[in-house]
Amino acid sequence: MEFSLKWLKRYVKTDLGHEKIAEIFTEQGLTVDSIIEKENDIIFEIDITTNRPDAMNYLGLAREIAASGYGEIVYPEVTVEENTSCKASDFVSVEIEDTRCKRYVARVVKGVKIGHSPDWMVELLESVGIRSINNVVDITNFVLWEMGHPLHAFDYRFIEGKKIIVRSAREGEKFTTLDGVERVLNPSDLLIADTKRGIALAGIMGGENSEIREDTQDVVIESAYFDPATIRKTSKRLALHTDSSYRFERGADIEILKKAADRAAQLMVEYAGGTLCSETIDVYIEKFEPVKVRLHLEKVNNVLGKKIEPSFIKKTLNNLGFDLIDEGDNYFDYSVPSYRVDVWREIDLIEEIARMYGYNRFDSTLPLIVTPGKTKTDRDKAIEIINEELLKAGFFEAISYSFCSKKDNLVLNPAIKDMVEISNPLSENMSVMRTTIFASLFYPFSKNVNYGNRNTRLFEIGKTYVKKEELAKEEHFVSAIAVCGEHGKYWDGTVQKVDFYRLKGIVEAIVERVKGAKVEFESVDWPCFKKGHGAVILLNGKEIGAIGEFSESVLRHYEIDLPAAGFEVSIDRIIEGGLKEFKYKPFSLFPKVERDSAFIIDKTVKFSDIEKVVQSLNIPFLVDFSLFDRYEGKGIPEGKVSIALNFVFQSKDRTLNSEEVNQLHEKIIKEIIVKFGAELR
Amino acid sequence: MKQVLEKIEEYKKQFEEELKKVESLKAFEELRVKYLGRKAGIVKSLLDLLRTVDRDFKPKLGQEINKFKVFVEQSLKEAGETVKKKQQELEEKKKFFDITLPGFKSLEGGRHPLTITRQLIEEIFVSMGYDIASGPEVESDWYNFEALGIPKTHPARDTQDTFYISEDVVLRTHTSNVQIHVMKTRKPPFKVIMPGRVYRKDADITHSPMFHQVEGLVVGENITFQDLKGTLDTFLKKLFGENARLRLRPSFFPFTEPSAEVDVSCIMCGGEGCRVCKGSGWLEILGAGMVDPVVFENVGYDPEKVTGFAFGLGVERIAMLKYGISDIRLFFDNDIRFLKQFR
Repeated sequence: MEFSLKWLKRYVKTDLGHEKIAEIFTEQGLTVDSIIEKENDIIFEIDITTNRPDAMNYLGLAREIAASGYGEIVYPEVTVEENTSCKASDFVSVEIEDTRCKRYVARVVKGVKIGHSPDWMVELLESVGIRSINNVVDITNFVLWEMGHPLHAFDYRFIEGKKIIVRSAREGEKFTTLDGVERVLNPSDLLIADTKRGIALAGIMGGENSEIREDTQDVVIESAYFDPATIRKTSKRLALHTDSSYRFERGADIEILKKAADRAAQLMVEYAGGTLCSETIDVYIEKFEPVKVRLHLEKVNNVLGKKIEPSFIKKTLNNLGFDLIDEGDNYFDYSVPSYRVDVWREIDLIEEIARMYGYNRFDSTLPLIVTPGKTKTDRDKAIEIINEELLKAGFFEAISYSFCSKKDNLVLNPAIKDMVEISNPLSENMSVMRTTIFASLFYPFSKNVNYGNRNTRLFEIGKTYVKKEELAKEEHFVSAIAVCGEHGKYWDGTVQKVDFYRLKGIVEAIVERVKGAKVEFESVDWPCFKKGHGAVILLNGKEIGAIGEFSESVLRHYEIDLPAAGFEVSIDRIIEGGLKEFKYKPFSLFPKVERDSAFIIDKTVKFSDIEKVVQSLNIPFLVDFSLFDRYEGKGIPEGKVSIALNFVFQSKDRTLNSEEVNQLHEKIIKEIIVKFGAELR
Repeated sequence: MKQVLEKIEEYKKQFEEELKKVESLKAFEELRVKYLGRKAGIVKSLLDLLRTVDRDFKPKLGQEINKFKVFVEQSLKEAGETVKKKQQELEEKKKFFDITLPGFKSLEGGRHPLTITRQLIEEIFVSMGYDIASGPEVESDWYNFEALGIPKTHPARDTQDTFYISEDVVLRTHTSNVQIHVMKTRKPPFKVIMPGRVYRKDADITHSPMFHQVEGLVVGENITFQDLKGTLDTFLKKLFGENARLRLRPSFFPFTEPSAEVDVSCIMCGGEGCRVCKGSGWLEILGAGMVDPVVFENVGYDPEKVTGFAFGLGVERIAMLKYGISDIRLFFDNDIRFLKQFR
């Protein structure tokens, strides 16, 4: 909010320069964001928090400076000369039908001459960006900025039936505000009406039908108080925000109404040549009772941690307008001024004391409570291992949005129901919460690939969101996506490849390290994966995730022109039931004996079946068994592959002899040949 | 005899030619055997020839053959040194190992700068005895707003443009909702921080519809405003260095009273005033305050018995300051050219 130094200085006597004034404002909680030096004025851009409508005007700001002890407030002299030959009640009466209006004050100024405002007023208004309209309207604006209360001026000619009625709008009632826009109202809106129609949208904007015109002669000044929530609701619904609504919705000063009306009347007499009719119409349906607050001195010190002198408290609160109505040995009773709508409790007074004392004069101490710091949870430990494995494999961590489009979720899982939908999204691309991290992680993945990074490898640790009753089931997952292919080559010819099996190895390592268990993979035909290239990941028979090479439809959807593979695993499901426990097992000190054999075998024989067969033999001393080469192509018949297996034999308590190992090895070979029609190479 | 002498002359020439061509030790040895070999060397063959010539010529011829032999021996001796040296050099060359060849690096990977920053913040607070808690992101209006003293009609709702799931469910606009969950499930005293994703309907160079906050909450008997100040002072010095200074400005949050906006002396210019701090010397870094009694009442605590403070800071804001990043969108673009700078 902009304020002019020149205007401010009308109400405060001080020797302070503008920089010092800005500093005081900032220290007292009215942060000066910037100071703009103009030709013959200084403009402060002040960030006034929503709880301080009392400071959103010049007198309020002057009060803050005065309270700091650096200046003296100068109130404008409000004196009205009434002409007893006319009475306001002869012109108009006021009826409050809807009690969301707590008070309505009206004054009548007769015989005004609409024209220009005096130059000084035009200049002041323009300094804070308010365009001069005419003397009467300018005066209402001037009073708003001077003392903070929004006023409205009606052309008396257009008040039908000599009566102002404050009522709720009727369902569908049409009303044209003075910006020329026709608004459709409903009973939640408060309307100022005459006997026939609305003439102003209460607290927000006047009506086109009753605005001040060039030939206006008699003016009715409205100075009223409206319920903040009502004004806010209407203003928000109609997206109609004005200086007036801004103040009413934050809380106006119900006790200043008469004074504000008088001030406007005084200025209209002086600058618009009007005559002020006697009588002030004042319908006050709920008399203001000042809030009384007891301040315990001990509580001040308990909350702030510093002993504040009672004399300082008294002086400060007095300067801010709080009335000391009683005091005891260890308490003060205060009456809160009507303009301080933010103060109604002891803690609010303590804040006043703290801010006037100066936040920066407080000491720095640490809480005197001893609490143990956090130790890692199972999830933290799992995430640490997951990070290690993925960093080792050369993946970059990404953080993508938790939301995506419906289509994104559906492309990855057409069966998904229960999406968490955002009712007011920024765009269709951010309209639902992701049900899989893939849905959003593919965006940065695609961007990187299309920027020319042909070996993109990304992972993300985050949540997925599925509707659960009113809220969502939020589950922690790790998800990784990589381009399939060569990702690097050393100058000695070694190739760094990333593909399905590399990703599978990462998943296996993660679960092995976190859980000490082996995962199983079960082939699935999901539309997100290339046919035959996708699998669900099972841990102890329970599904914990999926892995695969992505299908054309996914790649096309995200505009990716390279093959890609990925996995997604639920961290929460892995850690369920605890983590791997470490227990030392003595290792054999006797030599290992290794045997290799290669077979030519049907390509369709699954490796897991070979594993099962070997295991089922229960060969003694077989401690390890692995695939170390797999080859198809030249020299191997079509439809067949060559696989080379390595077997390791070892005993815990003796050295094995060649002969017995050969026999065991032979047994395995025979079984593989018989079971799979393999051929020894 | 003349013939033999001519032959010796010829051999001499031939030897000299051949010697010139010798480079390796192996060729050198072959040459030696060819001329001096005991069984079939050229010198041997000449000596064999000597037996067949006239006695009169024998001494003279013997002398010539011997001269040739000595010449060959002498030449070979001289050349042998050079060849050996050459051979040694070659051996050395073959052994050369270039330690300056590029090393074999693993594929590059790294953590996201926001994760790094969040962990840095967490570490500082954990070292000060804080626990870490978390809470839901899809949240009821009550936890996100009402319990924190922000009813539907509160103007403070304007400053937090909210994504709604339904009338009573929102994407949390701050991590303050976790304060309520923590207080409802724990008994004071406690010190907790609560990191997480938050959402606001806002998108430009300094605003992202999704961003990260770390909330802090300390509740117990006699927790004071000075404790809040000291805690934040300690934190900011650990984060930005011992020279960091702290400034508190009175502010307003519905769930704290008194409330403060906390600034740190500009980490770019040290407080002199620069482009980053817009000349003020200060950077707005977090919001904080004493827990408002209304919040305690909402969670069933007695505000006469306990006090507490809370604070909330933006992880992106701190990362942007620490790393000199001016566009918040870079964090969520996840461009590897950006990410690799933090590995």
